[in-house]
Amino acid sequence: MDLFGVLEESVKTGIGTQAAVFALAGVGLNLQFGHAGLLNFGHVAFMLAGGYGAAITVDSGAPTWAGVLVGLTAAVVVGLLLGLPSLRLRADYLAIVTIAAAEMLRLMVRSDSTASITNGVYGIQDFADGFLDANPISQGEYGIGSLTFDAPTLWLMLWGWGLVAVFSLLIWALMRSPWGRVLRSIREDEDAARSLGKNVFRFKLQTLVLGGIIAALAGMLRAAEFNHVQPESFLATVTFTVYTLLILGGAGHTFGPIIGAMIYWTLITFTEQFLWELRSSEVIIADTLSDQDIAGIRFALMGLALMLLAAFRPQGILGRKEEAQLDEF
Amino acid sequence: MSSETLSTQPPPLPGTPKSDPVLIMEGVRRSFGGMLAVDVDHLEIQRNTITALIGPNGAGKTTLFNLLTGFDRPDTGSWEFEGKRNRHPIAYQTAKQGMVRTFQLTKALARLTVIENMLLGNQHQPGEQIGPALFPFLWRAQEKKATAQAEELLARFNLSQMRDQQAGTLSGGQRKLLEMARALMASPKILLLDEPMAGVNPALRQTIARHICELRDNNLSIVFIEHDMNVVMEISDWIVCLAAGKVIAEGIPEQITQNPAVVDAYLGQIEKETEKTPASLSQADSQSAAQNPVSPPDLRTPAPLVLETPTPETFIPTRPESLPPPTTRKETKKKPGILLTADRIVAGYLPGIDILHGCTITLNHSELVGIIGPNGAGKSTLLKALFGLVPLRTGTVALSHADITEKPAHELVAMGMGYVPQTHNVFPSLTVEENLQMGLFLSPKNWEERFAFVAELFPLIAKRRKQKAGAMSGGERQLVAMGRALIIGPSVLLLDEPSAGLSPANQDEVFHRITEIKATGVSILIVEQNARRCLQIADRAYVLDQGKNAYTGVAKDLLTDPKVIELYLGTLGQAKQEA
Repeated sequence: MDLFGVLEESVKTGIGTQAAVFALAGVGLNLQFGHAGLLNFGHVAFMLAGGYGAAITVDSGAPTWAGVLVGLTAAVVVGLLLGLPSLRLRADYLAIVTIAAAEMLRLMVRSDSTASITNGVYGIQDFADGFLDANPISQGEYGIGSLTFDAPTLWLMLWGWGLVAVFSLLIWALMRSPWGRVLRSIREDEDAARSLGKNVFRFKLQTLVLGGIIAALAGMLRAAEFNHVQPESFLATVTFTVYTLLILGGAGHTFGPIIGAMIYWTLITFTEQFLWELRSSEVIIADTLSDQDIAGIRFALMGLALMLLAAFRPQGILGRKEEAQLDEF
Repeated sequence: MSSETLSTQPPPLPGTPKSDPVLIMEGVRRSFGGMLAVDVDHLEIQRNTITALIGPNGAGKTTLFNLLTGFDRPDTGSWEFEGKRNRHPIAYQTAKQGMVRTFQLTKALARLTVIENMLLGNQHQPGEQIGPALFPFLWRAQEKKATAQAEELLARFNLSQMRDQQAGTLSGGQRKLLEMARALMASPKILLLDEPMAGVNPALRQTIARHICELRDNNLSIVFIEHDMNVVMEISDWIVCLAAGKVIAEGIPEQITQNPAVVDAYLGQIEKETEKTPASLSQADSQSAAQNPVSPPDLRTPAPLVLETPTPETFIPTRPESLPPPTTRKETKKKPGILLTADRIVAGYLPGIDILHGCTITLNHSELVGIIGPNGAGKSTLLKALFGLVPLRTGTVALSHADITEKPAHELVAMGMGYVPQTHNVFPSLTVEENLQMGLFLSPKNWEERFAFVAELFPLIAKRRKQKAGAMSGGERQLVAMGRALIIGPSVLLLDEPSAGLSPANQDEVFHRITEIKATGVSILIVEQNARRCLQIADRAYVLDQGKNAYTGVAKDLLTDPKVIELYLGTLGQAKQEA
């Protein structure tokens, strides 16, 4: 049994493009949910807006930078559309509006009526060639020992983790400024913030849009990784995966989404590879465990891990326990 | 004004003009589903004075604060603050204009440090905009200035040593202080304090009172809501008394305490000895009465419907087959002896904060016992503790000599205890009949006869049995809730402020129904704000104060006991009453 191989594969996923994409989406959600307390259950809508915005634009012949610009604009529009009607209402309305809007948006790009632009269920392919060709890294494998990445993967990873670093720094700077203090006060008690002359609505809208922009970049990166956007990549489960890793790492903590994403993808891959390994080394008889079973089991185990975490360490891996307890008086 | 008024000068009329008003309200009204919560025709607040806003529960004091500060919108009316007219203010703008409030339930931002809480009050911080926030050199200077100001305020409020602690670790009283200090950071022109002393220990009360006076001396206008009348009388320059949303009196403390309207508002009006029959609820509240003009029962003559009292044991639904048929009733037999006792119970909601500090009460068979006392005395908590809704720290509760201290509420219902909460006491989306069925799900076999029993007691229930409870008025809901508690045939009925929020006619109806329930042999423990009405119908009463038994005795004696008035209106009120 190749346990080393299993571990290696897990670590590779844990720091790979996939993890970077989810970490970036997590950084956006961390601002909204972790710092401001906004229950955005439609985070994937921003990723979709970014991914499709860029894909459609570049596919029509525009340069990559124009695609990025359109993707970001689309995310701002989504943020305003979601936030303007719902942010003045009670917190749970935002949750309802966002989860519904995200699904509506996905069904919209999937429908026949928009197929001339979005290509329906098939999605858009091969639009990221320009971005991938701009890779300055020469061909070859890079890494330590047998833990290596090829040049295109490295290019995507650089962008992914680079953006994670930039936006983590930005949010860290914002959160230690007076602006961030107001945001934290809104998470604690909106009415208190209002009574002290803070325009709570404006802060929440800024947060929703800024977090959305970050998620849109994650969506673009995801699109570029597969060189393909399709409706099924933007299911509601993506939002919940981002929540899972954010809570795992520690919501409201700068490094929460980063650590969370790395651990999440490492664990998911480890479970999967380990079960495969057990099967191929005939510890488990192949017939009793199909590939689909394995795919299901890893998520079930993740769910279990999350439940245990919620029970014993609700503040996440990085959060401070005392803070979680202050809520209960 | 009554001729008994003893003041040397005539007391001012409500809405009297002030020499230098900072705030002028004009026709401010706000109603919640037909109930007028605030109805202020004209009210002026004098600049640089301490104005107390007093009034019984539900008088609309906090609602008025909410309207003024933009946390709620008035139906009609407007007010002038610092020469600026406001109609539908937005909360944050009100604060920026210089009208800053605090909250009854303190809103200390638990996971921010004390100094961070303070700095939030600053209104001139450019770093609160998302762009400049990224460039510390743009906001450092302002931050430093505000920090110095905050530290000075913290020192004044004795919070310096807590500077870097998270606000969630402060005690209740310290949170009150922090909230007040934080409001001052916003450099208000007028400060609205909602119960600044609630839940604060006596030593700290003195501190807060001193601070309020100092602020006034430093040219700040202050309006505060407070239930501790001793504090109100001590520090207020002017008192405004609200009742049922209206300004019923205003004046200097001496004028207020001898104002009979104020005393009535707090203790409830004694029912006029007239021959009028109480208006039926349906007449008062709905048009359906016109189609079905049932003459209200003449409740002045005692117990026209003579009900046989089933012995309490037969009411216990564990053997409901033995319930007597609801027809052919005989005379009520008094069964002597203790039914329910609570012995030195200590209880509270939050760890470390007790509401009840050792209450002892007893309820005898077929007895109607009232529990009265000022706001925050722990009356409702006492009922909840008896009914197993609040965990007891120490003490015991016994029903028919069986210990029920640890029993959960649903088991107590099966043992013959009925409880009608103060609010949210019906299922609004269910019909009246369904509401009653919910009350009898323990023994559905007896539905027909039990329904007939309750319907005989409350004709309204039979008449409106298919109507949704949510469509009924507050008074009607109260009857439905009582009917639901009665349908299972309890031996003890616990009523939490059955008259709260009801119109006077509906209150009459509810009180009469309660005496009728008692006539069927059910023992009743009733918590009431309307102390006088409660004492009129009760056999005995307990007066609670700050979670302890203050006085107890025969209801009729307490009705005229000056000590009770003192509890409600403070010692000054007492002095005037004697004079």
